[in-house]
Amino acid sequence: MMMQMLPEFAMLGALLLMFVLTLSNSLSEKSARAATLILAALVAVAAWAAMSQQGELFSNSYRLDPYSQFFKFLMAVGLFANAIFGWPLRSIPKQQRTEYYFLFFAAGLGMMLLASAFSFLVLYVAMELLSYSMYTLVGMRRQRTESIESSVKYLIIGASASAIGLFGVSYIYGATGSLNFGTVASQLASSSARSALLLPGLVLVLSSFLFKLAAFPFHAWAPDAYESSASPVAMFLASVSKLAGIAVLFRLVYLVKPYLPEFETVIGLLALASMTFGNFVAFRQKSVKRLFAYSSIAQAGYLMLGMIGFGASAPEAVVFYSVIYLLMNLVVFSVVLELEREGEDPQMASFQGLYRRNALMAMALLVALFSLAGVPPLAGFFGKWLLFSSAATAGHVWFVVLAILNSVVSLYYYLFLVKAAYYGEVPEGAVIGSRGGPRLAVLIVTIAITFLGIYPRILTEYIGSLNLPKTMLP
Amino acid sequence: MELPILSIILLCPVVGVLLLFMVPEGRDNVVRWISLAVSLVAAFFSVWMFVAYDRVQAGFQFTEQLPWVPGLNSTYHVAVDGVGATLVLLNAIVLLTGVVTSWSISFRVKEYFILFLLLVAGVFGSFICLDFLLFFIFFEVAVLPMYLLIGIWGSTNREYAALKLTIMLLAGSGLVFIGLIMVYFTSSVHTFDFITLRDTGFSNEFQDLVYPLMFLGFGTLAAVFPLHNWSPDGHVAAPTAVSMLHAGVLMKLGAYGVLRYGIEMFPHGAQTWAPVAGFFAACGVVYGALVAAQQTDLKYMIGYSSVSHMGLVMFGLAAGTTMAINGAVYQMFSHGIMTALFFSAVGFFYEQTHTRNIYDYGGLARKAPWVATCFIMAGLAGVGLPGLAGFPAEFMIFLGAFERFPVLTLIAVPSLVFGAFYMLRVLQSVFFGPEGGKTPQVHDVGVFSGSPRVLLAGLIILFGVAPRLLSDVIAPYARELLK
Repeated sequence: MMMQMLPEFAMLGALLLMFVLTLSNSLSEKSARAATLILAALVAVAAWAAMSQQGELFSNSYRLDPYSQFFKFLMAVGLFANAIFGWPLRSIPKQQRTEYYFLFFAAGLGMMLLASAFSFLVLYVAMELLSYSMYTLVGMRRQRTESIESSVKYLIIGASASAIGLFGVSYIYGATGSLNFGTVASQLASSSARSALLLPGLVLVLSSFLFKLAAFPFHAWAPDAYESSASPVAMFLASVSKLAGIAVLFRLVYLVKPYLPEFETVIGLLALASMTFGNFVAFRQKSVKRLFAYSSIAQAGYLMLGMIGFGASAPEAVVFYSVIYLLMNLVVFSVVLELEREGEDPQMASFQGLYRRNALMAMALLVALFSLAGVPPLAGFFGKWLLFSSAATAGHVWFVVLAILNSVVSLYYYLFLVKAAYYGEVPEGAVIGSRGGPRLAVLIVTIAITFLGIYPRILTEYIGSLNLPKTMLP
Repeated sequence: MELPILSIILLCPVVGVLLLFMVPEGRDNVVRWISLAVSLVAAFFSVWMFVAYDRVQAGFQFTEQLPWVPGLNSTYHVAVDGVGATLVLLNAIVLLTGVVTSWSISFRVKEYFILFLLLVAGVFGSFICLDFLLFFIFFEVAVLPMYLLIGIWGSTNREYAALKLTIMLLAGSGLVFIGLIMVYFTSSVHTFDFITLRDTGFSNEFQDLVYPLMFLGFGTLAAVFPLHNWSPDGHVAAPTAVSMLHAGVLMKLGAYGVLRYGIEMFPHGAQTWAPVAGFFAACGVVYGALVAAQQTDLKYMIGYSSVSHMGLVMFGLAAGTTMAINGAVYQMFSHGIMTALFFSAVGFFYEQTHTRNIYDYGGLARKAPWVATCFIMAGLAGVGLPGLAGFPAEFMIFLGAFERFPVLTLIAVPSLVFGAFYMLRVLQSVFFGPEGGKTPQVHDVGVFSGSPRVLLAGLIILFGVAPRLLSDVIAPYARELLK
């Protein structure tokens, strides 16, 4: 078991170590960062080593398969990238930074557990571990009242979503007598045992996932949380923490979808609502972090659309898009961090003339934004192609048509940012952006986004070799 | 092994982009010479390809096929037929002349040429690619750099024009993308390969459903009335060489899309919708000519006359007879050369005087005889003077279209007369008569900067007096198409 759950144990170890190290307050800022980087790298190595692990633990409520292991590796890499890009912590008060490191890994552990959760109970526990860490992280920018406000908002919406979800679980338990995903799916398969409570139960459970993904109608926390939290935390929220939501939602959807066509329609409609709402509201934003919050609501919609695809195409599409979603958001938020000033969030206007201040960042931003909009030849296009075609094979042509139109709409506000960065004059007293470290990392990620668009085979073939459509089923 | 000539042509601008990335900041001349070198190589191979194209055998030639995304049955499949070869040649010519015309750009030179070459790479790719997915990707690569090229290096109202252009064109490609997905999933073969898809065919109902998507999607780029209104604004705002590329090649890419992925792939759909398409195209012909006549800004004038001329191309395509298709492809080529020449000449005046208002000029023929001659030649080709490249094209279009749409043709033909009227008015007030306020500032230039215009003017004459050079390549294609 030790070997099978190596990434989780590594994360737990990192968490405890950071806790002890920072407790004494003897660690300098620099060494704390170094320790975070090293530990995150070790976790990633552990996740890589455990890539081929398979099995079912704790009376079948915790499942290790290529799907979960791949997501764990992706999360570990994302965590490591966050440790590189998500710096400096200047908007978090000094005495609280120690907690930041601890919560950083605690949230990571929650995410990893979610990727493997195979029973509603494990799901609930993992979800709360992640959520509580996030509530605290969001509220850490204590000198700003909005930070605390958004943290409370986040908490209240999160708690309601959990409550609704738990209520749904009670229906499912009532209908099937089990909390195990596999049992629920097999009960669904046999039409005789199928209870009328199942569909409402599943739809209610959906609410907790939608909350994690910041999808409609549980999205309302995201704009505030993104805007008023410290930018490294916002980056964490937008990049890795989403992976957990995607991983667990898709696992459930994939299991029950074949037997419940109505469920597919529900998810399709929610996906559509999410992307339309996110895209149209993003138009009017002045604050860049808010804009990206709405854009991520829309992105959650695209992902959900891909989930309702047919057969083999859906897992590949979702996993592929998860990878590039992580990459795109890392780039976008590292640019945001670059432009952030003490106690002040970047607005649209702070992107003005970015090109002349920092050509590399401007180019990275351009690539990431066009990729988010799904413009060829960047990876975002290929990702969207996989998602949309997966939904199209399942016969949801109208959803796909509307999603494509949505992508065109989204381009409009992404172009505004590009315009500011490339056309605008440099405003007075603008930040130059002098962080030396992440430059190379940003360049690498940008090249990766371009390369995966031109030559997606590398990733698609790897994902294909995981044989997800088979291995995901119990 | 045979020389992969199409890949070489495509790789020229790509290699150029990569090389330019490595040039250190501030070495502007190195940037210019590298761009010129790659475009010369591309032009050389394009001419070679055009000459070597077997006119008797016709069909797709210079085929190369490599796997790209096997999971989707998408391959790197390139080949050219009559229309592809013609347009590749056109693109190479406009690229070469555009690079020379861009010599005077002095602001962010490196980025300018990177984007310029990237755009050209996209256009080359689109013309040679026979894989629908890859074509779509190249198509977008050809459209997007425009946003930055106009927004950063443009003039009048550039930010508005750049945004309008990008949004409209991408909305168009959104329609194409919808069509692309429908094609892929409806076809029993699940492939993106154009030849396979075309030969497999689609049910009549499906064709009738998808053809409008293709027509509107690509038609936006070809500036079909009433989706044209990004185009004059875009032309006016764009820097000279970008206008040349834009009107010279990019709009043809739209028409090419309609031809290849509309008419060839969905012949029945094209038949069904031909009256509607013909009607809008004819509207564009007349409307463009009428509006052009009102303009006092030279670039707006050319922009609207381009709408009119592209309307002619689409009119010929909609008519769908052998003669009309022949004429339409011929018109794509001759209009490309002609507008490139127009914009190059206007850019030349604008650089020296910073005005494009026709009333600021007068008597330019004495001050700058070379440029004036070129401009007048383009103008006369535009109105279809026999002996210049515009004539055989327009003649064939009207002759071919009359069979199919007699009434519409009779409505569209007078627009030529009208076109002659406004063109002569402009030529008279700009080049002849008393000297205008800005005329003294204009000077003729040296051999190097003048060379692109001379080249283009020479081609207008060449393809005017010897239309067979081109029609020998196009005619077999048109015949094959209608079988």
